Amino acid sequence: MNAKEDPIAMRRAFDAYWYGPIAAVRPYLLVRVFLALLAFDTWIVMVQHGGRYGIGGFNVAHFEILDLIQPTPTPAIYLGTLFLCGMLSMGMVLYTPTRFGLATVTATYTYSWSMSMLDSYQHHYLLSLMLLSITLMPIQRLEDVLPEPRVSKVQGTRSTRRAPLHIEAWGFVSVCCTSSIVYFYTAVTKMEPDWRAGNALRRLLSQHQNAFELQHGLGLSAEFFWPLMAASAIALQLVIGLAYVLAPLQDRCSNSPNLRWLHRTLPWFGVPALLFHAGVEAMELELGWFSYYMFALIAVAFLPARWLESTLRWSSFPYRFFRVSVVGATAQTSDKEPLVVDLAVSALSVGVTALLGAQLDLPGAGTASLLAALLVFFQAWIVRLSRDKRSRRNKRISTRALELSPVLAALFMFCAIWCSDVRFDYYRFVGGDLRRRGDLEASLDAYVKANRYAPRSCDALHDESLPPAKRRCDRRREAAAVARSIRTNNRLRAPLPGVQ
Amino acid sequence: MSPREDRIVKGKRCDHVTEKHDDSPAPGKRAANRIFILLFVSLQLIVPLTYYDRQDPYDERFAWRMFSGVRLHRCDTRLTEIHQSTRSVVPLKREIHAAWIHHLRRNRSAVVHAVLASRCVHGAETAELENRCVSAAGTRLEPLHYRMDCLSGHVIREGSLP
Repeated sequence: MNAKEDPIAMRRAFDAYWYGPIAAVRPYLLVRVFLALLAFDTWIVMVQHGGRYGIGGFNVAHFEILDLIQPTPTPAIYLGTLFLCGMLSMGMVLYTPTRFGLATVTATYTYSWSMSMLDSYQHHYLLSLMLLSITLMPIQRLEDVLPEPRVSKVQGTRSTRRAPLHIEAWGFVSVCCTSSIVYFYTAVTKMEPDWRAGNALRRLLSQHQNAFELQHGLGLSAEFFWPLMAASAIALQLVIGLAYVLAPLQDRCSNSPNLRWLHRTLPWFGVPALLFHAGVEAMELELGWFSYYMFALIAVAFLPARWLESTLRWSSFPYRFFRVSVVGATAQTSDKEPLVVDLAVSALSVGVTALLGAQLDLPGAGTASLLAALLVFFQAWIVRLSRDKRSRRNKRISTRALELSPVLAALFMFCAIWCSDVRFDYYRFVGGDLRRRGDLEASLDAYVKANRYAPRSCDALHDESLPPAKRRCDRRREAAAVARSIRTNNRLRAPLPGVQ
Repeated sequence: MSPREDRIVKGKRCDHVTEKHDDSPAPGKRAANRIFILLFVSLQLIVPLTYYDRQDPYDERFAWRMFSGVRLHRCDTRLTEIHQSTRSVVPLKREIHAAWIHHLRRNRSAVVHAVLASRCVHGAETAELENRCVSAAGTRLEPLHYRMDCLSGHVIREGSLP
């Protein structure tokens, strides 16, 4: 009787795939890297488009039920949701993920795109699915993944070389399966006549002379070259889909020669995925940071566990040093601190976090920061007042670290927005839209703000021959010129600050 | 030997796995997990499939049809309305954000219906949207007309979908 006929054998095969051992470092890194990317993605990439929400009271949500129950999304609602999602993500990267925190991040991120069809990026749906799987992964601390080296009984020496720790992590398998399904369906899409004939690919690459030069260089006719490229894309995506189904088997242990062969070859299966996303980046297909998420997933899913562990060991050195020297020293101090000190620390954490958010001059930032800080505040006090087995000293260290996390997350958010062109782009887009709709006074206000946050690097002598730097400075000049023209043509205001 | 070392996975020859946490869930929880996994994966397999049964090829959401041929159609959009028996062209750029115009050009029916309904709210008797599209291969497609009768609220579509 084979597996198809025997339900017990089927269940065994199911369990072997989903509940088999996974190197603990894989889910650990995936959670941290995805959360960090998500935080910066929301702050740097998604925030700039927030000004388009709720204009004229018009909105269509992705799901009809949301249109019935939610208020019309406004920039403050959309940006507030993103800031909250980003801050909680970064807080968990800096402290330790919690199930409640991961669920909140998944919910806020999903709501951020589902509240309006203005966000119709397919990779945002994909990230929501992956975040749901991540929420169901085991919660691990660094100490769980990188245990202290063992002391050899025979020689009394510390052995640093040990095989990677393995855990059961069906959430990680689920991420791989989701990726596989996405690549499979993307390949199916490309099997339609327009794609197979190469027309769609030709249209996509119409701005990239390199592809056309390659065609001429190879001496191939367009009728042969483009269908060939299209077929290659389909084949590549099917291979990537297969690779993700096999990826969780990499850490399986077996005497079977087939599985041992798979162990050796699986890391190479990441190469097609890497090439594909490198190609997507080169084509500048306006997919946001999708490729960066996928690069992270490729590394975590396909690289040998030992390499990942070594990378984690080296990259976490500052944290481990901090834990031993600073936290260790703190632990020596008295564990009896008056309640008022705890209250003062909590209040200070909430106040500083909210203040940093409010300084951003973006709708919803202050409220979201306050909300994030309050969520952490309540969590910290639940830990503080709980009667678990930990000593008071350990609990105090843990809650202090937890309370510090929103402050640090707010600092990261502040720096990310301060150092990038997010506010410039946000107010520039708002100004542009208001101008198109004839509200010149409000448009001018927005452009004045945009110019306040315009990239300063164009003032100094910079190499503007590089395309990104040139585009950035062109945008600044354009914004300044538009503001000047609105003022001149409509005699609205006195000379503008920041407008050359 | 420490308790953790007691839990070392034994009897397997490959050298890259030596240790596994004994943190497997209870059988009941594992059964619940199995049901969740089956539902989650089935949903991910079924939802994209529904696209191929939909009446609307332009609604490619949740179907993983990145850069499909349909996505690359280029359309010109024109919104007109009849107000007190006079037909006039609605300046879309002044009424809604450019991102919504982009959705209209992509024939997103939910957005088309909402825009037409918004014209009815503004006092129109009939609102009509026309999309003239060109395929990725450059072929002109039959124009699509969506007409909303503001009294009944019904939308009639004319022109065949690709």
